[in-house]
Amino acid sequence: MTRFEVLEPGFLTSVQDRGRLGHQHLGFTVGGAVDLRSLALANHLVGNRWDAACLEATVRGPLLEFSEPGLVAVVGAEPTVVLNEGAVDPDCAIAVRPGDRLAVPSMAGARAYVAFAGGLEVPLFLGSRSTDLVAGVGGVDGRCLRRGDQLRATPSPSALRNRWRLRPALRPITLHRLHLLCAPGPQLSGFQATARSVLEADLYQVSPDCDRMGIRLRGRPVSYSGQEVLSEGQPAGAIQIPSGGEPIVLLAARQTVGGYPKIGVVGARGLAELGQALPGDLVTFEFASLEELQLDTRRWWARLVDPQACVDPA
Amino acid sequence: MGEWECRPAGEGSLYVLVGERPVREVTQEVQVVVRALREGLGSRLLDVVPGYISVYVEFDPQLWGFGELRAAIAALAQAPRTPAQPRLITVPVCYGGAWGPDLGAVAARNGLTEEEVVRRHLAPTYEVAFIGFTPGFPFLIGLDEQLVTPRLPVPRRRVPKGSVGIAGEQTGIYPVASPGGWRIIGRTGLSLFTPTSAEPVLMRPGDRVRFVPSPESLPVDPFLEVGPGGTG
Repeated sequence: MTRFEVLEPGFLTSVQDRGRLGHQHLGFTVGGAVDLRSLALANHLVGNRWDAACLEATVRGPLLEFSEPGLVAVVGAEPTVVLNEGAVDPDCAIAVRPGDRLAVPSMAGARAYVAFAGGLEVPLFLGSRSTDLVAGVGGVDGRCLRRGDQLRATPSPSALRNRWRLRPALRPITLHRLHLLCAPGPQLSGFQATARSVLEADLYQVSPDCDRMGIRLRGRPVSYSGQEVLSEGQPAGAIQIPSGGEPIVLLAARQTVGGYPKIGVVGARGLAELGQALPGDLVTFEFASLEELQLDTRRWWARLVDPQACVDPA
Repeated sequence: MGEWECRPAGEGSLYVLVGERPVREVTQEVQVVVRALREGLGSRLLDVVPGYISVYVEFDPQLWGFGELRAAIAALAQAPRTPAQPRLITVPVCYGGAWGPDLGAVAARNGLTEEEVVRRHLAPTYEVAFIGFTPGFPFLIGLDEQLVTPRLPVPRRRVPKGSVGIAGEQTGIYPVASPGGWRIIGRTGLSLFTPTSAEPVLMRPGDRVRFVPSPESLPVDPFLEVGPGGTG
């Protein structure tokens, strides 16, 4: 059973799984991993279900010291992974022994996921182990990791057995330029007639105002002239237009209700890419029908949930 | 009522639109839709989230096509209704003073005395239209028209837990300390969010709420206005 101590927590590291479903009516955000693709791939490498609880590291990852053996994998924005003093590859299973130190000192994008065979064992809160940093629940006492935290994974038969790596075509690449497929949003008809073509034609830039809740973009504003939107539930990927006219794309830890008009909604594949976006990255939008977006997501996701489609035995 | 119009929200979500304005008939119909969806389709949906005039539904698009779910919801609209059994929750409040720093401004803006604001805030039985913003934060409808007051022009950096506020036509209660722009007129010691409890959130959409004067005083907890830099 893997056990480890957090020697350095990194910039913002928290326990995340697929999120807390079914409690938005009580004000609990879904949350969970912002980049679900990397979460799934990291879990496959250590023999977990795709949605097991991992560490989500942001920009600069943690330094961990293991006290019991186990199997780990790091997947995300081309992370640098250091085992003891030597660099090791991300995107593959790594066996760790007592006394080993694993570090993720840097990465090319926003996030990397560290999976542990068996999945991290923290208490379930409303059906999920993910950390809700706003409500202060889930994960480790509802907060991000601190120096000295002790964590462990659930015992797993797959530990120490796998030597898997991701299939080359699936290894994440950080591009800093995203092309996002989106469908018409619920209030699209209330925008000026040219709004959709403005959104499609312009090059938007990720502003520093981005976190697990959403990403504010800079670029040509679009204006809304429809009816006032009364607070309503809102999907991840919704492209909100606040009064300033510059878009905000909602991510996993969005508020459960909101009253900004939504011109479009980004699909799950684009959402995972946005989870790796850094300030300064460039974003373009392309509208498709809802059916086309669903088809795109279905093809993309069918492969990601199938471990055999994702990993090669070494 | 009875026309439940479905519109797509995203690739795995839709809205059931119930009305145009958040009047009582509409917000109560919203709760009827929520109950019907939970009872009729509960385990086959991921989330059912009431708003003011709509119900937002998340589903697995591998299980449901939009048209298929719309048809299932239309069938529920024709089914007999389960009568609502709303709970009544009583909330004791210390008004004004250090607990309600905006009571004077709410009074002045509406040409009332502070006593009159409190009397009018105590009078109605409110309804929880929905929960949002933070876990357990109730958006209550039924506010006296004379108390309607816009949000603060600049939100505070910290509003203490239990603060009772007004924003436009709504009144509500902060379950945890958080930033916020509502006009705070009082505070309750009642806990709306208890993470360690089996039922961590006290209020649910559709509940009725009455405020009563608090029989006991509450400790003072600081408000933080917007200031230069920092988070503390």
